[in-house]
Amino acid sequence: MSLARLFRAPAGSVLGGAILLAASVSFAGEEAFVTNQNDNTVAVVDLERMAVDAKLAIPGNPVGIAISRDGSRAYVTSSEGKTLSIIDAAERKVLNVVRLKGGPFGVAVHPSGRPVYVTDWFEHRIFVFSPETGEVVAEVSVGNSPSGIAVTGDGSTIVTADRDSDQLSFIDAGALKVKGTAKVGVRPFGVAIDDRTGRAFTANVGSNSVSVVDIASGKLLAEVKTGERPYDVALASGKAFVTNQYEATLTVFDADTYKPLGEIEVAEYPEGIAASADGKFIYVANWLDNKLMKIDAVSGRVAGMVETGNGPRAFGAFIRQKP
Amino acid sequence: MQATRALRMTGLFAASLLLFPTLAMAHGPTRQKIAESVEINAPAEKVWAKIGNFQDMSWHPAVEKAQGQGGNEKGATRTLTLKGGGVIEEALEKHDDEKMSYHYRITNVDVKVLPVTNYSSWLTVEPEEGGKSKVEWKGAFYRGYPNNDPPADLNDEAAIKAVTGVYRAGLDSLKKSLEAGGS
Repeated sequence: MSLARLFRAPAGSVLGGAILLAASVSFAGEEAFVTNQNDNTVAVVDLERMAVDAKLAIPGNPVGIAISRDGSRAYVTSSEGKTLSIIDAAERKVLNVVRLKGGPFGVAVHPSGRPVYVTDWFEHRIFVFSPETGEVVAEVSVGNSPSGIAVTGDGSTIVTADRDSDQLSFIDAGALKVKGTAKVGVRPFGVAIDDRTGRAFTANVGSNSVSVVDIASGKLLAEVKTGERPYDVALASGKAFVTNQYEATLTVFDADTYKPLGEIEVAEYPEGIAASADGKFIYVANWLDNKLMKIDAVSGRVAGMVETGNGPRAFGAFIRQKP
Repeated sequence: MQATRALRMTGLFAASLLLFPTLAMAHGPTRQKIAESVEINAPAEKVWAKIGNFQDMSWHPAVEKAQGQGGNEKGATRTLTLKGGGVIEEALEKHDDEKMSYHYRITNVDVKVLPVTNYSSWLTVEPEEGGKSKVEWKGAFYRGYPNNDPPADLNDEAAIKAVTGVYRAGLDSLKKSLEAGGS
């Protein structure tokens, strides 16, 4: 994407040049931290240029990722190595690698920057990790094989997709107690929260659908058909985008009315998906083809692509605003 | 190795390694992937004509015969009988003559025949300069043993070795026959 297109400045005009200059000073853009599961790295990708700026070595097959809202820290889970790696995002430096019990998988950060929540795929719980002490300070039991995890924008509620219980769990972030669950489709995996409406969207790997649940009441609002093997969901500009692992497509539907809006072809084995802060672009990690794709959220057009490394998954909130 | 380098990055982690000597062990299967390729001194169209039919696996030296239904339509099936015994049942997910690529999945196989589960694969021909082409064969799969502590013949290494062997045998044989002027 070019800034010129964003601002629709007349090409070559003096005015256009001035706007571009001002924009490039005040708008540093965004970058992605992409976990490359099969070569034990995290690639830092400039999303303006769609270019890899740095690669960090992360042991143990990195999969899950969450960047703090202020953009200062990236937390990466390694399912095989059973670790949580803590990255200083600006310095591109691994600060610590902490070994956890069980099978750490999904990860999310409280909007305030702490604590960090990690799902344990094997022992049916989440870990509550304190970045200050570098330790797990609490555990909360949830359903079986929790995978995806997200926190509401107000920081009050943690949502987990409990894959083998076919449910979402809603955890009170203050009391660290499960306050409710909701039955969804078969084998929910990734989960995303729409803070505009207070709804959770989860991709059901086993029933080729996305379930939409009202977080406050736990009520199931809809089950929307997707392509084969939906993996994760991102929300942008009032639309839901779902990665269909087996079909190499995104299913797109209206996040409020659930009306289907079509499919977008992507590279093979799309997995992690996230939106730019302004909702204009969607970024998709394609595990088989080793690519991060940039897609225009309005037109559905592929706007860019870059090779990140072997086996990109980027499961979680993998985009940050550059300072 | 990158992982080793990373392990050395923090003293704290190095210390925790000593406390947990089982760190390197696998806990539950991880999805594996393989990509093998070969450059062939023949135009892509010619290579695709040889391997692009889902119902015809005669180009692979390990396959005795292929029987199936549905041609090259999505959902088409084939049963491969291997030389020396063993069968593999597969289904077509996607077939694209324009992109010269097809994508299929194993629907049924004994792990004694091929030690994998949840296997899917992509076969693609790409044109290269000078009338040459590149054939790429990719696979995504889990090992044959679904739980922790797999026996040696059903672990990740066994799965990778078996699939790599199938791909190499097919690709090398394909190159040989096409460059020898075979049709």
